Amino acid sequence: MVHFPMAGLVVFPLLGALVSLALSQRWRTLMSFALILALLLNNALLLLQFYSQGMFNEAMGNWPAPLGIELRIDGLALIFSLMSAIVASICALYAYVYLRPAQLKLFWPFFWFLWVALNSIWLSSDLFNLYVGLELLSLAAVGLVALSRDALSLAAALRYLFAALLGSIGYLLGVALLYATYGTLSLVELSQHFSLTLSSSVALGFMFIGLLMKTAVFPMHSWLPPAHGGALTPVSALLSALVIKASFYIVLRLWTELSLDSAPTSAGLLMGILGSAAILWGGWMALHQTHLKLVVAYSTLAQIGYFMLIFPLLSDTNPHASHLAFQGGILMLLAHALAKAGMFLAAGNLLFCTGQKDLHSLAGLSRYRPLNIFAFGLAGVSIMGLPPSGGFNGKWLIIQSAMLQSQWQWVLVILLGSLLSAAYIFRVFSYTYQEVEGGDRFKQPSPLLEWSALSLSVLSILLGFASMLVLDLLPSHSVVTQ
Amino acid sequence: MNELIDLTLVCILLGLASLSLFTQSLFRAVMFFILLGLILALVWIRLDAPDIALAEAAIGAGITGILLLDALAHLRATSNTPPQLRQLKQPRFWLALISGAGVILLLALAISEPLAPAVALDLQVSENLTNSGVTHPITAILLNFRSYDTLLEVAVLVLAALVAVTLRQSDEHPVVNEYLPNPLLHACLKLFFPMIFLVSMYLLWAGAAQPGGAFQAGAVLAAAFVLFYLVGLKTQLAQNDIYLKGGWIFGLALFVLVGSMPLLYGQPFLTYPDSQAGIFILLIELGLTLSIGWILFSMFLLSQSSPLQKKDSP
Repeated sequence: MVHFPMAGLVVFPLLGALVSLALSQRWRTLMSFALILALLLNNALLLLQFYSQGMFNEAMGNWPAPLGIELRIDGLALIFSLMSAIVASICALYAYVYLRPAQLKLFWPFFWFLWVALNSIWLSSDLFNLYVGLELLSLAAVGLVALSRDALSLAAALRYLFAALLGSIGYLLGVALLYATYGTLSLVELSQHFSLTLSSSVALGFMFIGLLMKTAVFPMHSWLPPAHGGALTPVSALLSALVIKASFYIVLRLWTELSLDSAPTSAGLLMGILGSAAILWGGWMALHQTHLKLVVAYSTLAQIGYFMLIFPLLSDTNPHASHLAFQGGILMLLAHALAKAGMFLAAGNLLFCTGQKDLHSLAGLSRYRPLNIFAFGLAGVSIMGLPPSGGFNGKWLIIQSAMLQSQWQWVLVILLGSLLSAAYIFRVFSYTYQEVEGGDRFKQPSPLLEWSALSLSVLSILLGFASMLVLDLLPSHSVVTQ
Repeated sequence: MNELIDLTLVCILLGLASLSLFTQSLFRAVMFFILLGLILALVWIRLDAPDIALAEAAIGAGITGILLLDALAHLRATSNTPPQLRQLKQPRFWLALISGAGVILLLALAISEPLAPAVALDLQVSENLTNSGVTHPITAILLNFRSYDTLLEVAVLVLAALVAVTLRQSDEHPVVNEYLPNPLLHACLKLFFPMIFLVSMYLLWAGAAQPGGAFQAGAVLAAAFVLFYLVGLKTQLAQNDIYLKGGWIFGLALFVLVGSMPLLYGQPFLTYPDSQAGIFILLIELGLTLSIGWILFSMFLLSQSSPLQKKDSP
């Protein structure tokens, strides 16, 4: 059974997809939650296995790479797998209460395929396999966006589909070029032979453009706000917290494994500039939205910008500072996953209370629905990067790294971005504190909805205290920048 | 001589592609696109890739063509006006043109370097072919060496069908079917269906030793289903939600089941038992053929008004 925990990450969600398509309503729900429990347990087992034997590979079908496909569990993969397990389980619970039966019927298979795709991407160390994972992920995400079935979100879903397909083509083109040049698809083998020639740079350029488009990095972001803002609430949470992380994860993997930190600094600089633009533009747009969910969606755009700041800070000349930036980036990614999922769920609850999308309609909610405002606020603390929260620790590590390397421009951008995020979050608060006449005329969401939003927000704060526990899973810096 | 053939093919390909893009009538654009698929299949043959040629002809030209024509009928029924060629005035047209030219230039630069792959994967494939259970290298790669990719690809297909259902259910203007109650067509189909079925099964069986396999066989099967449907012989199976979805997931379920069994015996995921790999591959491929045929057919079916839509519409 030694092979089980790793294969389980793919087999369990696949089973989930199958049963949710084949079974009747009651069994579908029952089996889905049983399989969610199984997956959580599976992740815990995998963590134990990782603690006892460290990083390990497994060849699918017993064919070692490069002939076959090898999956790999290392600290990074494990962190992302745990992250998706936690966020997805809570979102599933929320969705079960929140969605109508007809929507739920389609939600479950999409949800499970999404989880298959995420896990296959976290585990994969094969370029083409990553492409298949991306395809599965994009289709599942598009299906989820289209669940709400109003004209606007259908248009958003189609736009998302086109952007995702374009991104896939870019990535696939690059993979084909790399395969023609090196004759292998295995990331491990590729990293042994890789050198930054002209054709490799072109290939990586195509791949990165495709992946960044799927991540919605400025200026390729315009598909994200309507898709994330218009989707059903649990779907928005899944998309913002997990889906955009997958394509970013591949960029990060490629960058570290192919040792692009020793590449000319202009590439890193370009990534940093895109990130900075995303931080400022996303923050500015979030400040000017009139719909609550669009504020949260634009906030995701800005947060993606912070992740991009890792790249200019990864350098082989200063391993210590480089490692700090890497750790900081991972913490930011994690904190954002938890906080943004919490924030979207809380926003969904607030919208449920008022029944309207407009920010003005939030007036009075602080008095009558304090628990939801509290959940929104806790998530906001992590998004703004106030201590003590995962978001704060991540930002702090990145700033430290930037100061060590005297790259002050990023420090300035991070500070400006934090001010902007504080502004757009407090702007939402200011609406909720307005007093209204006529007493409590709001609907009451079910406690399960309130507590699932709150639990994610609390987790994003707790991450601030447990940061070292997470970062210990990552390899020490000598390995990262080998 | 061969260069002449290649040059002609390339010219035709480029010509058909631009005709398909720039022609005013959408119907003509679809026709050119189908032709493009057929010529592309010839190109694949010239490139010594008969497997891809088969798939291109069956899926690229066949099923995609049917779907596009169907979408066209839909556009007409909803009286959506087809887009006109006014793009020349829009800046986005020029943006697309410039980025397209940039991509071509970069690709040309990239492949101008001499290619000297560091890893000779084809040698490894032929060395391990004897242990793979089949003798055709493409099938060995798809269903044994890299079967994990294929498993996920099949999941993508099921998912695509599901997305089609989701989009379908939000359509407010379902197209009413127009059958072709033509007795000649009926008779022809009676004659042809067994043969089409036989071709499909032959493609599947031949895949072990020569070009062919589940995807190609599935596409041919789907074409048979579509013909059936067009002459008005409604398959009762497709009207039932359980059969519809059961058909989709049959292949995937079989694949997952066979793939997970070795886990119980302490072997990695998707390992076939020694010396029986051939049988297991054939079993999985049979399941996949049926499901792929069914999925491709139901994509077509879903663009007609379907029972699912009536059941769930608010």
